[in-house]
Amino acid sequence: MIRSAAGMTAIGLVLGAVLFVSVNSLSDRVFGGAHIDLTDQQLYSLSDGTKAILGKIDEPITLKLYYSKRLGEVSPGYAVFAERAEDLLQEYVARSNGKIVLEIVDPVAFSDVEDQATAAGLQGVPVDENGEQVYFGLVGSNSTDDQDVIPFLQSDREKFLEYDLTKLIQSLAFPKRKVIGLATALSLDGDMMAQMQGRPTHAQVIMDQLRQTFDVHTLTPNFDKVPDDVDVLMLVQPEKLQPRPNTPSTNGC
Amino acid sequence: MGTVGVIFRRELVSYFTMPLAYVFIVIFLVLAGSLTFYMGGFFERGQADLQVFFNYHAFLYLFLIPALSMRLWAEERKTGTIELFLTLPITTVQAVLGKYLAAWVFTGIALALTFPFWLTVNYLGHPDNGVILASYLGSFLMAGAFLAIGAAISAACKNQVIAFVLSATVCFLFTAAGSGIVLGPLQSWVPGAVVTGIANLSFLQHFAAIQRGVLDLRDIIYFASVITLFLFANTLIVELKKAD
Repeated sequence: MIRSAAGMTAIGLVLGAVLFVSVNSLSDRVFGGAHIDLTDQQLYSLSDGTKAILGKIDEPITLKLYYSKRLGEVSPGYAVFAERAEDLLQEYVARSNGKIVLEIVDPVAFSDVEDQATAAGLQGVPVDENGEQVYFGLVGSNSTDDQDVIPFLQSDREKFLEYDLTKLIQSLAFPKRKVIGLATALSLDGDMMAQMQGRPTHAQVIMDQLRQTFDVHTLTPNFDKVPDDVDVLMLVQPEKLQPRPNTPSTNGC
Repeated sequence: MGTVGVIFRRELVSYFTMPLAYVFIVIFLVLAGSLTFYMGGFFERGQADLQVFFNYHAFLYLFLIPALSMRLWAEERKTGTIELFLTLPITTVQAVLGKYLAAWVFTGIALALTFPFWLTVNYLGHPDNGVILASYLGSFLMAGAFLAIGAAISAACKNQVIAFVLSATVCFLFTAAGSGIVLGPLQSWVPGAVVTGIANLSFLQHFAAIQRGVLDLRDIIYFASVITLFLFANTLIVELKKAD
């Protein structure tokens, strides 16, 4: 059978294009997670803290990632982010000795899965005028039916993705929160005087951060015994502070 | 590979005997600089990184690389030197590779000459140099992909201007594949999986992934496969036109 040179070229081009598409879709499936992280702080590799927490999980944890494919179609930036979140979650699964089970579901509009998503507390984002909502959140649950939710994975928190995920897993793996006893002369919880007078005052950022993971009990000044329920005693007493009000100052003023 | 090396050297040296090389490099550097400082607000951001600088690379390549690639084969065909070139004792694959590699290394030189940005940002602060290295590699790969597309189209055209316009258009489609301008007209009648597949072919998406500072095997395979595909097409087209 004799074919024209142009025909052969066209066939070659088509075959090349088919090969190109198949190589890329195959590599998407096969090589997920094979990467070299060149960032200074290893932003895209699991940190030692995360690995330690994953190694200590006793009870199985189920993670359910609700990701509307529609969201990726509407804003491709989110498709990239979702892929990265999925890769990272797969990495968690791989390192958890089978304790973490990951399910990825697509809450199609007006489906049962969408009802589950809203019931779990996920936040839907409308994409069009018809009221169709898209979801991109994570629901984690452990064997004692505790549940923790990230209502929507914001792309601007991409840098903190690992932190957010590890925090969620930690709260499920160790539902009993550790108690911190805080002994300090600083007003970390905001100005006491202002509180008494009913004026608005804010706790320091570190207190907000601590309370997300621990129960913080502030110990009275002059305490003589650390309460039994305190797991960690935290002393905050920077050098070169003014003397405490109830101690007589040395220069007699 | 010896023959490829000979063609490569001959081509690369020929760039610097023409004003083309100097015009290309100067325009590339001036545009990269002014886009970074004026449109990107490099100083206003107050961040010690080169993110804005790399963000404009795709758009610079979009019209500069076709300008470089349009002459690769179209000029040879126009002036008739292609007949002499292809009667030399070389295979078409060697000719394609030699010409392509010379052009790619040439863009690499232009890219490397942006090193003052790297020095500046290191002088001003403490950037994450791993991220910058990854971005440079990504940018170089992306330039290679643009160039391969341009080379293949140049081989199909006798007229350099047509080669330029077509290359720029195809490069634009690949660049913007993930954005609404390409996906918008498709979304209503093409199944979602195909739309996602097309979005995955976007240069910008793969470049952005590398730009984070992560060399993912999938992104490298993507660029390598684009380059391979278009060089293969290039070889087929040269073979076909040789028979004309």
